[in-house]
Amino acid sequence: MGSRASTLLREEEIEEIKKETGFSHSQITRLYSRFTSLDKGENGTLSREDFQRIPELAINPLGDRIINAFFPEGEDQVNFRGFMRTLAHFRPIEDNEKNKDPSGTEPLNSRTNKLLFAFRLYDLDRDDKISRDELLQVLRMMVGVNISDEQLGSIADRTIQEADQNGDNSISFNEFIKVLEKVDVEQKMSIRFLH
Amino acid sequence: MAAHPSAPSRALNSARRQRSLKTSRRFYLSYQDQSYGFSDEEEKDEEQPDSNDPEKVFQNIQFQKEIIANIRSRPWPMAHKLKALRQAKEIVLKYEGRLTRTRGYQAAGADLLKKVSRVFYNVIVLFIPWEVRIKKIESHFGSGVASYFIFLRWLFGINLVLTAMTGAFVVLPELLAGAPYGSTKSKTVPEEQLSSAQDLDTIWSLGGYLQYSVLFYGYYGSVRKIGSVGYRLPLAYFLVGVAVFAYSFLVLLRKMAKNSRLSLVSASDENYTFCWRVFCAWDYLIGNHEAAESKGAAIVNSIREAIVEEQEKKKQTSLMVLVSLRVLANVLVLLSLAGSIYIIYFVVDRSQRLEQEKQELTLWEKNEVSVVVSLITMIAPSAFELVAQLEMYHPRTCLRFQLARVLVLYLGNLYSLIIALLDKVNSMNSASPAAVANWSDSSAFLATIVLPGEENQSTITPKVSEWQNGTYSPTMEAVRTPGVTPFSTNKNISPEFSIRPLQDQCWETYVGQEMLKLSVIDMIFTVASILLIDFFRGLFVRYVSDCWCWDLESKFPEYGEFKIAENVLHLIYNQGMIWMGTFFSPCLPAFNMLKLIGLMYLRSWAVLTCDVPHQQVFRASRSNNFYLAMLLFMLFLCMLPTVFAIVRYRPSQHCGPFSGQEKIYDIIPETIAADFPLWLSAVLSYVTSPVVVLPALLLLFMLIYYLQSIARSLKFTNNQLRIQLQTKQQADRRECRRLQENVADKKRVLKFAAVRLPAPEGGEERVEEENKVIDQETSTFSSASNLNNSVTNCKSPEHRGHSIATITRSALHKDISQTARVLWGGQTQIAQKHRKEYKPNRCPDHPGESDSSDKLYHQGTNRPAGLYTDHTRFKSLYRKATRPVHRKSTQYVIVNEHGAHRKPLQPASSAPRCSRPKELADVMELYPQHGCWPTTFSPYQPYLTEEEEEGVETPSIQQFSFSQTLQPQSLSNLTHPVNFYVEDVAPHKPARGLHRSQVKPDWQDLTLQMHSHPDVRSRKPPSRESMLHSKMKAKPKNRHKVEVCLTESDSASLASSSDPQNSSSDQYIQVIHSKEKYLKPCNSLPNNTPRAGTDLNMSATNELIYSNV
Repeated sequence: MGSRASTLLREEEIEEIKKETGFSHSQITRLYSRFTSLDKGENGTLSREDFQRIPELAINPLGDRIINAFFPEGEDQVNFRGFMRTLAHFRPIEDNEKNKDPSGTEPLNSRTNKLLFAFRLYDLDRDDKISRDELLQVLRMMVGVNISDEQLGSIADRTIQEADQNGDNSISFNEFIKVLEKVDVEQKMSIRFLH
Repeated sequence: MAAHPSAPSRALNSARRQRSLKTSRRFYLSYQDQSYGFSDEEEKDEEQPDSNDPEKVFQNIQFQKEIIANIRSRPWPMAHKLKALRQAKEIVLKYEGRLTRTRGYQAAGADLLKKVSRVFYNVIVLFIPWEVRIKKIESHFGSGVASYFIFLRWLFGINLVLTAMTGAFVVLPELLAGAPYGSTKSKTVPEEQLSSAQDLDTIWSLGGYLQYSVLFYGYYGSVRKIGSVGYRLPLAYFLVGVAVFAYSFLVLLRKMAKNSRLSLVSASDENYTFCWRVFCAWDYLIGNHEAAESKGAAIVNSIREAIVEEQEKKKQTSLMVLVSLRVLANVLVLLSLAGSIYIIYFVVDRSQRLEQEKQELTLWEKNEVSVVVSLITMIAPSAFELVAQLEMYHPRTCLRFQLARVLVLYLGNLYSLIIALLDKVNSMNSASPAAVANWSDSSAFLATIVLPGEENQSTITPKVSEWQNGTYSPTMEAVRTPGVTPFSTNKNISPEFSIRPLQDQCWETYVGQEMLKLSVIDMIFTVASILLIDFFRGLFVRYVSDCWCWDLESKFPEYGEFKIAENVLHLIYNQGMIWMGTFFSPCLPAFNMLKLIGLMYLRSWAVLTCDVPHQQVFRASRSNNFYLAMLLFMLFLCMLPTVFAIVRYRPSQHCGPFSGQEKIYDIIPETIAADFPLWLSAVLSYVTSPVVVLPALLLLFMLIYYLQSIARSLKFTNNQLRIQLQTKQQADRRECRRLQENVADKKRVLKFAAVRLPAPEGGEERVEEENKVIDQETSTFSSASNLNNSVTNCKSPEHRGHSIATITRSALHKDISQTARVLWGGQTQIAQKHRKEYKPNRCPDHPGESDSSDKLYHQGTNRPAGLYTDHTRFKSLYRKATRPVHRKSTQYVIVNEHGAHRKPLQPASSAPRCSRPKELADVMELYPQHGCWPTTFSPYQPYLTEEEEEGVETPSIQQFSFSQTLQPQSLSNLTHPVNFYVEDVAPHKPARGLHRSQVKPDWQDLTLQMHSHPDVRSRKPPSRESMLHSKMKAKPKNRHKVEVCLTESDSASLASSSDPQNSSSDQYIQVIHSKEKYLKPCNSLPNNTPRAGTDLNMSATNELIYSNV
């Protein structure tokens, strides 16, 4: 599979992706083989259905949101470049990247960008705020019908109340960061390549 | 290069720096490296070639190899690639030899090991008994229900060990080496019972063959040594009996200690409970549908738990009502407890009466007591639960109360039974000696045993079987009758007993039978209740609900809930029976093991199929010691009767391993006396004498007390530490937040600054030109006011072009110079001005200063901070510059100077607002330290002399006094400059950092030049200001640009060399605080410094100049 993938993928393309996303050559080829195996239509792009075939995403209550994150606004196909661009959020942060010059543009896999990715999963209307309704929707997706609306509402309220700091009854990205301050996002939101 | 958008400007910057010396080249290199982000490691290697940590070296080599492999694909210029490649190869060559090849294998091996261990762990989980099942239950029903099963599993573990102990040391030896069945009387079913030995009724009551088997005490032979190896079975039996308790205690206590440790660790504050539950709930690696379902259920549960917790926190009722309700509830509970105990006694009483009155008992009558006891244990907990609802405790407290009450109930039941049993044993014990005395006075002991048995075979048999059914013997009745001494009672009844076969008088077997029977009946009831209460009710509710007049599922019967409290208690109760009976029935643990296994499957099945999760779920944490404490309590209470029986009663004379002994524990002294050397028994007799025992006891008490107090103090320290930790965490969090805000602020400032800047180069040029013009203007202006000044206008191009920092600086100093001028007009003023103006210039050359500043810089967190600081610094400069300009432009007269003098004062007072009080205090204190301002200026002395040579009027005294003081670089001078520098000159640091080497020569040039044009010097500040004023826009931008580059290189140089260049942190922090009002602080702080400087200066110069004049 690996050899096939690398033959299909042009060297310069790999270079570009590498530059853009920071993945190593072998990682790119590996992900490309994954990409091609997901690509049932064999047209070089993935559709939403292709993603939904991944069991982890299919059963994930937030699966749709994650799949959405792969697709640019208004499109329902994603090519390998786009695929990699999204996956770059999940590239593990390497040791030598941690104390890099901060003046450059932040890599896609920085903590902030990882968190932003997660934040977007909850921010359904993309207004950079997680409102109560959005939270409710997500909660409903997660718990199904087991909990009454009222209770869910109170959970959403409590959640916002906990995180909200400027009193606008919604969670902004900054507040989101603060909430997850202690969560090891760098580790959790990383692809685990088994080297 | 093209890949970097900012590359051109960087190139320009570097080009400008071409003049610089070697050091600056190094900066450039590192700076460049920094910009590529990859090769900085190489640089580091160059600088610290002898890092000996093999791990580091190895990593480095790996890294270099990667570079070599990928060098082609890097977006670097060819030259750089070549250089990097060469370096990488060198390094690999150099260091690879240091590492053995095994190093690589080690790494690979470590990886492999990690993988294998992960797989291994996964496999191990499969082998943990019921782990998967428990996890599943946990996910559906929460940790509370799961804790029951975990507890069950743990008990199973204990029973496993108990079984192993009894099995290996008692049962197996007896089976293998002991006398076979039928060899002795105590191992044979009596003839008269043989016919009924296989009846279901007999089996049910554990009689017949079961009674004469390894199940019970009576079967074990009393031969001291059995088998070819001489296994001491009686001794082993006794020791195992003791070991069972000892082991149980040990395990329990250890578990409890471990749990309390766990609870200490896990006690942390959860600030964002809900957020975490919501945002971090899902496990994104779940790909299995069932797992997903479980996870979903777990999320629901955890959320529910959180809700309940919150609700409980909020709940508020009036205290009076609550107290009265609770009192009422407790009264009710006490009443029901008393009632249940009374019922048990009543039933026992009744059964005894029935036994006495009737010859043949029905099945109900036989099992009446057990059934009633079991019924009570089933019903009472539910009643308690109802009562508990009155109390409105937090669910956790509620559960504890419930558990405690049920425990009391169970204990009451057990104890009432036990007391009855012991009463019976008592009577049996006192009866048998009587019987022996009556009939077996003859020499043939065996004959007496056999004879009565044969004689009374026909008549007594029914009675015997009744007896064995576990109902209570008539003796009980007799004993209970008041006014009759036990002995006489026994005498009275003894005819009835005397006709029994003596081998039936094995009271240990009897107790064992009772316990085992109790255990069996308990199991049956459990199964029945599970089926009835959970399964059939579930079925009923599920299928009848459709055609019922009310909604069965949500109204009355509902589905069963898993009642943790009762079930746990039931386990404890069950275990209590085991402990109680193990000594008399060595196979009890084995039986209990089977029972627990069955229970585990049945319960888990019932829970998953029939029960619904609790409406009120809450976290009964696993580290909850409550269950264990109850178990410990139970263990102690169950041990008491056994120990009592062992110590108090005489073992049966004709059965069991201890037959023939006076007391059961006599086996120990006997063994010691018989099989150990004499001295040991002597020693032991001493040891057991009160002389030793009493002190030992005292010592024990003291030890307990000591440990207790130590534990208490440790607990106290623990709490203290935890509190400290929490406050620390909070402080840290606050700090982090603040820093974040600061960074954001700085970004804003940066943007703000960036908005204002046009093209860098052009702007600078323009500025210079304008400077020239303005210089001229101002110089003329000043010449008008100061007659002594010769108005040779200067261009001072080098100075200005050199770095913009100087420009700003001059703006800064205007203040001082102006004020000075006011006070001392004329030449003195000029001289002073000169001095002052050098000050900033000088600072860059001071290594000491930079040292301290560097320290500050390091404190100032991270590199971005440094970067931003520069901008803010710039900002402050900008402000600084504008303000004086204002003054200047509006009024340039003496009056104006006063204003200038006063004005700074005001900012000083406003400074506290924006900067941290402490820092401010530092700032303020700096000045007093400066006390002798002349020293601050001393570095300039040399230049002053130069000045003099140039023909400028300089006070000779001044010259003299300073000539011995230090050169700019001298270290003794450091303290003052440091202080001064931090406050005043910090803004220029970046410039210094960049041009460090460069600056110095230039500067000397400059000073020379400046000295040659003293007037220009003095004039310059004003000119700059006015220029700034007019061209504010152009200039800031210009400066900004330069500084950005500078800071970058600064940081690079910091990374590569230990040369301290940055002092910005101080300013940085202050500026940070300014936040939205950063404009003002920036204004006030810089101004602040000049003011103080001026004041002191004035006095200092005052003296000097006076002398001069």
